[in-house]
Amino acid sequence: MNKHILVVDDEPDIRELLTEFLGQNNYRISTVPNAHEAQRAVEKDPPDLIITDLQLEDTDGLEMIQHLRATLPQTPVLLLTGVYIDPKVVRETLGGKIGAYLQKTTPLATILEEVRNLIGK
Amino acid sequence: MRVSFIHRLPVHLASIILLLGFLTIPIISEFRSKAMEEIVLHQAEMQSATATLALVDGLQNVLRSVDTNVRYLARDLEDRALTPAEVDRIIHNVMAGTPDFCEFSISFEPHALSPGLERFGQHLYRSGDHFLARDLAAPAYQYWTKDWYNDALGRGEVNWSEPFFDRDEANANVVRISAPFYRTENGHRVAAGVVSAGLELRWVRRLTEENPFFDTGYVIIFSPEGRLIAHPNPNYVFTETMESLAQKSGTPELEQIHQRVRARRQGALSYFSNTFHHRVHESYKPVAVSGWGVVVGYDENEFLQPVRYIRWITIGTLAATLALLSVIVLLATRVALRPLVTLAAIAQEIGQGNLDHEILPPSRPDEIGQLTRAFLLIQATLKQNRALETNARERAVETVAANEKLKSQILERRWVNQALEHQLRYDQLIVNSISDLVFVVTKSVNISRINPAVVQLTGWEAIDLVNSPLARVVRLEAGGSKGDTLTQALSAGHDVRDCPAEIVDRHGGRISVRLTLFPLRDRDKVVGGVVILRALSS
Repeated sequence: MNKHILVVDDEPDIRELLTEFLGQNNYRISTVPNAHEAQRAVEKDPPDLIITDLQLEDTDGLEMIQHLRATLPQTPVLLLTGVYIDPKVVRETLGGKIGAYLQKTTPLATILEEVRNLIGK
Repeated sequence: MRVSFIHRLPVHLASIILLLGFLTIPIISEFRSKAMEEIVLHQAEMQSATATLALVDGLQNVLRSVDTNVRYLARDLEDRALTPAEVDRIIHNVMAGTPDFCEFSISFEPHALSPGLERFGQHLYRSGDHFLARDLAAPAYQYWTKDWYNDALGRGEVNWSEPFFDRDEANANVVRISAPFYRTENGHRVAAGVVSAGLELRWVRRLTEENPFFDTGYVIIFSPEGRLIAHPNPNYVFTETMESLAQKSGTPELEQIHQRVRARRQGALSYFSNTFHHRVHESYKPVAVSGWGVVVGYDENEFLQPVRYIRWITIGTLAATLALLSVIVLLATRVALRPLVTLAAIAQEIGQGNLDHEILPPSRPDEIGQLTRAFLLIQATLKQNRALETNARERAVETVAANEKLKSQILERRWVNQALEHQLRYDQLIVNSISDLVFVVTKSVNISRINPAVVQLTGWEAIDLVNSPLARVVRLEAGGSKGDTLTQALSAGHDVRDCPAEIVDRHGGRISVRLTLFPLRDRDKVVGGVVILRALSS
């Protein structure tokens, strides 16, 4: 059965592109635009991976992840954002919260590679 | 794939021949046998009819001579004046001269022989080699009370009695023939008496036995009343009639024959006889003189058995011929179809995709050769098609791969575009959110972009300033041309930090600011700069 990925991003284009791309690579994709719907989505259909933006409509991605940990303590998270974060910060501050951090300018192939690193094919 | 023995074509052909043979042979044989039976039975019927005719002729010859004799004697006595002695002499003469007669009598009507003699009847019968006389007018007999006498007078012609067993005199089966004779009185013909002769019937049996009608042939002779005079079963003779035998044996045909003979008809019948326990054919014919009936019969099986024997011989012969033919067909078709087996193996190889199986060029001009040539053509065409198919498949795979790659590239491009757009928007947001006045300048220090803080503080719009020299609105307070200072800093790639300057607003007013310049580098090459003005508090 295909691995399930939940994409949380307030931009429809991002959600659409990730759905198309990851779907082509045999992943099952669900998308939501905000943290509130993300909470409902994980309760209804727990994902194998969460890809989230940092800046959301109703909260930021890191805070949402903190809340989701109550439901999904082990599910890896890929932070995909346009905000540049210093690698050292990522390593020392966010390392415990997220599995990986990528900028939105990262090529899709690299994103796919990171996804495979986190949950396999 | 090896074809099992029973599914091989030669076996099929042989089986079909055998099957058709076993279906048709019995029909043909039965039809032929039936036809032969019809012919044989018809011939037998003809022989039977001929035998019946011959037997009836033989009977009639005897009976007619007796009948004629009695008629002659009766006629001889007409109008003849006789004495009892003369009558006695006549009777003796007749008996001596007619060995067929076992008895003979002359009886007279009252006073016919002599006016003084009321009744006279003289009778003579054989007893061994001599004759015995009897007075028929004796009280113990009284001939005028007897049927043979009265019937002859009553009918006025020769009368044949029913055969009977004469226990008293002849001690044999006898039939009595009686004929009236007449005299003329006053011109009228009146009955004078009756001449009567007894005929012993042993000769009838001899006659029937002398006529061997086939091996199973038999003769039945019966009287007008149906009494059996001759029958294959001697116990029935004189003890049974056609009617009683018909009822006893459940054979109504016997009664039917009797009725037809009484009606003076002749013919033939075939039926199952409960008396003989097999199917019989019987020809019947009336005997004109006595009214008897003659039946000549035979067992039909006597004639059908050879036919049936021939039928089984025929069936056996045909079956053997058929079996031999099947073996010949089996062998012949095996030889004839051997090339087809080879072609079948080739077809199987081709069917399994082996197009490189070697097919030897045909050396024969017949249908097998044509088929081999066709296989060669099929093989060549299939090879060509396979090459085309392989090529097309490769092209299709390449096309699909190219298409996938293109789709992937398009997707990647879309992703890059959205990322750039997002980044630009994000950068714009950052720049626009800065409360200091920001001018982005080219390497020649011309304005390429301003932030909203510039518009808010100076009243200048971007359209007023973009592509204008920065010096138009910003001046360094330190000596020297500010343009030169900033140009030199950009050329050298140096920062200019916190220099006092002033900015001219849209209305010509001057605002004091602190100026900072950061060169913009693209891969270590200065392509422009960012000028940040911080307004000093008044």
